[in-house]
Amino acid sequence: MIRGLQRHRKKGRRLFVLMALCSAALVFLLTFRSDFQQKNRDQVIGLQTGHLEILPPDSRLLANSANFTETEEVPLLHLGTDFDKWLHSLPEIEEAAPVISRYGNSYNIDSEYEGWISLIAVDAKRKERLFPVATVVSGSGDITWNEGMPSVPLLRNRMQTEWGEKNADASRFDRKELRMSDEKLPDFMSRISLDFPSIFKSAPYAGKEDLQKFLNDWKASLSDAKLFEKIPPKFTENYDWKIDDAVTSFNNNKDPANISFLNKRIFKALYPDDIAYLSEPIIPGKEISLQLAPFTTKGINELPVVIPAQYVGMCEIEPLYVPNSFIDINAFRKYMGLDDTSATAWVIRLKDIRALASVKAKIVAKLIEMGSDAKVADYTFLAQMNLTTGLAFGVVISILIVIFVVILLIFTINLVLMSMIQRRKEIGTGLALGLDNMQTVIIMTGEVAAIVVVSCIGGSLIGAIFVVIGMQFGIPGMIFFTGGKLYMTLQLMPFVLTWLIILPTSIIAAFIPLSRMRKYLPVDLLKEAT
Amino acid sequence: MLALKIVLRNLRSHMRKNVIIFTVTTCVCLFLFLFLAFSDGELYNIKNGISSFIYPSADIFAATPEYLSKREHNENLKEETLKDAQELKKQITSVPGVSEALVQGYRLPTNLFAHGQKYLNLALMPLDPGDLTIRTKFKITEGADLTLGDGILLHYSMKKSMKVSVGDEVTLVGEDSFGQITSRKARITGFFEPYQDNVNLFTLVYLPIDSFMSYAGYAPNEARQIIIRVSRGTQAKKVLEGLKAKAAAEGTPVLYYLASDFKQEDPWSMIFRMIRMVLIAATMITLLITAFGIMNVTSTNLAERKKEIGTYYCLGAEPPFLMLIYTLEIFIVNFAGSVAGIAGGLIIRLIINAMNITSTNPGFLVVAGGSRFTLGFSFGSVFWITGGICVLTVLTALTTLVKALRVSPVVAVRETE
Repeated sequence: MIRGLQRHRKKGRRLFVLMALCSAALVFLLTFRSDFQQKNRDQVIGLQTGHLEILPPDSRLLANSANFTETEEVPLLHLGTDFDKWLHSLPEIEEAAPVISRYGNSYNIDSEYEGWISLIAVDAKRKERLFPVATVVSGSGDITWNEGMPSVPLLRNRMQTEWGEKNADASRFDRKELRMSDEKLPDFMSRISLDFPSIFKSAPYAGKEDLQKFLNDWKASLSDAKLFEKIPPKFTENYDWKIDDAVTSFNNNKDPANISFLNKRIFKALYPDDIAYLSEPIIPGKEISLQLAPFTTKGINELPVVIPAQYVGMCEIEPLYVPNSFIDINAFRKYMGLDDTSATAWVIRLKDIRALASVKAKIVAKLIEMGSDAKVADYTFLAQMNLTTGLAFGVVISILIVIFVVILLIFTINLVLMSMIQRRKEIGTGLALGLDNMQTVIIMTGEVAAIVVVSCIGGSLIGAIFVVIGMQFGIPGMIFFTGGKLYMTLQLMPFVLTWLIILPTSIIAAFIPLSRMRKYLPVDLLKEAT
Repeated sequence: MLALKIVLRNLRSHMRKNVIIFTVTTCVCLFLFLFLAFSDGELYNIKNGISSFIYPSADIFAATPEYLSKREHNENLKEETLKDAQELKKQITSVPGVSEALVQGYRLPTNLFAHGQKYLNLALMPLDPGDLTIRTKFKITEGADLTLGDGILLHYSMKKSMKVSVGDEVTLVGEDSFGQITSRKARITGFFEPYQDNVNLFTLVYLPIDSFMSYAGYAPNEARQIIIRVSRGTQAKKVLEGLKAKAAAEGTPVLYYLASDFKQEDPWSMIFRMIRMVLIAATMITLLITAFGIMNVTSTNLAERKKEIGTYYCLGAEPPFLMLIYTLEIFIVNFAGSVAGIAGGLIIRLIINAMNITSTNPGFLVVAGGSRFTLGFSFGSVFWITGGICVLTVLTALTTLVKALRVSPVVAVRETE
């Protein structure tokens, strides 16, 4: 067998490379599939549903987990501290807490609509353990609120950065924020330089070629807390509400981080025809007003509840589905006029997902014992929509794996057939010297098996290298996941599966054509070979 | 011609080995085609489903002269409106080639009060009575289409979700486009079901365009833009010229521009295009491994044909001629395989599409891009597959032929003695 391998190493090398490539691809794809499905599941558990949720019996989520019509009047749960203590006494539970989910709108300091927001109100101390995937990407994750605070800390979803709606740089103007064409740019540069000679020190500017110099001079002035004092009298001789509004906003501001943006707004008010619309950047520290529908419907025109809030940081989100922001449940209950036990659900996170059924049964029994009619739903029901995505992707990868195995089978059979034809003389001589047909089949199958084993080792190593690259840099274009990347993990199972798929299939693929050799006579083979 | 004759003869005489390569290429191309057809289907469903509802199709837009420059600077366009939309619509429809002129709507978040319950964050959209295109995208499952000024159409899933019926009086309440409280009584005239449904369409509420504009805070005759659709077979550019000429003749201060010149892709299409990129990357891995397998078979094949190569040399053939012959042979087999694979894929596509696989499961709606599973078709996919096969042929020729043709006529003849 070893002699045969050495003699026909060229063909063996080809089979080796093919097998190695296939096994590397299988290791990579199987790891990718496993990571995709696992992270897809962990993401929804760690960002929204937990492993289990306790819901009011009339919760709309129990009728259809993908219910998109939120009502103003929402059924609430009232499970007290005893239940909380009991839950935490269960050894399988990592964290559990009451939560309140609500959609609302956020408004900028000047009452301008900023956007729609999906809130989860949760105990500030439990948030991190309950929703570990909602990691803080900028600012702080501390949403602790106390009565004396003027605004409620809010950990905002980073939707804007996720979808490429980059916040404009508040510290400087850029060309896009200036309305005029390139031809009219020198005129604007000249006008503003004459109005603010102390700012535009490099004036006169030639035009487009001096744009950067002009913008840099301008930038240096934007952090000036006394800029409004430099406004030339010609702008304030007649009352202009825009200028008055911009200066008032500046004077009312107490946050030094806002100075640059508010100065930009003063310039916008001074040159409304030259400077385009400036949207307030969504950054940690920004003050907003939250407007939320009250929980009890008293009539058609019920006024919303307004909560003064401040973004303390930005957190990770699930990009394809609902991006959640987090707020302290105590603040939320106080502003919304809810009592200390009110919750739209209790979210439970387990230490080990395998304990799901047993914990669910324990909670159901406890609720019955307490006389509560609350229902328990697990993540497979609550996250049906998200899990289907993972399932569909798994199917796609499985089809790819099948293609590889089919390719491998066809080429292995072909190579073995070729080998049989080219080695007729050698096989015939072997048979003539006393080897029986079955021994020859076993020797040749052994040769293939040896090549397959070696190539599987090589392929597994190559596959592992690709997986490690995927671990380090992440697979780009994965819009399903936080950050748009899937970070792979090195697991044993894909390697085992690759070996289990490739070894038997290729050995069987080799054995099928070789088994025909059982009927050959040495004389026929030697005759054919000449 | 001689080369082609030789190639055909060679194909016949080495039928068995060529069949193997043909089978592999066919299988690979079939799978690749189905892969890409799945992605094409998703994009088709998105285009004909959610995108067509939220961003109605348009060939040309009519807007104020400052509209585009303001849009370029991300300015607030709420107040950038055409003041006499009805008159302008009449002007537009009188231009030859125009089939429809409609006031452009947009999604306005609103709440709906029905039977003592307030439903939050519904998406209010206008429906123009003259919009025939949108009416090909949905069917009325119960009740009637919108005709009355106070009527609304709801998604059919809302019937169960809100427990409302046709004829029920409800109240729309929310903020208009300028942040002012707005409210309006409305009567449910019917329920609609999109042919390509999507979870984002569940909360869609249709209101007649006039009522919508007034609810949104605009004057009855005001419009942000006018959507212009041209007749089938008419070039939008020609119609655009006609519209501009008419506006100039009548002195109407209006800007006409081609929708294709300022196309903004909707978020759903963007998502599915990114998924397509992932699938294309997966097909590249498949093609790479197939390429290696085919090179392998071809190389073994040629090693056995030294006698044949030697004979060609003896007959006076030059290496470039032989290179051409063998490259053509590999190309014909690979190309036939890809054509067969694509043809097989087209047949499977026809069968699957005829099966009309539909589901209302939200997960299915997300994965398939709509409520009907569709295997799509695009020339891009076909070019990608056949292009991949051509590259594969060149790679095979370069890696195997150069070495395989390095045969001395004498050695070749001696070897076969």
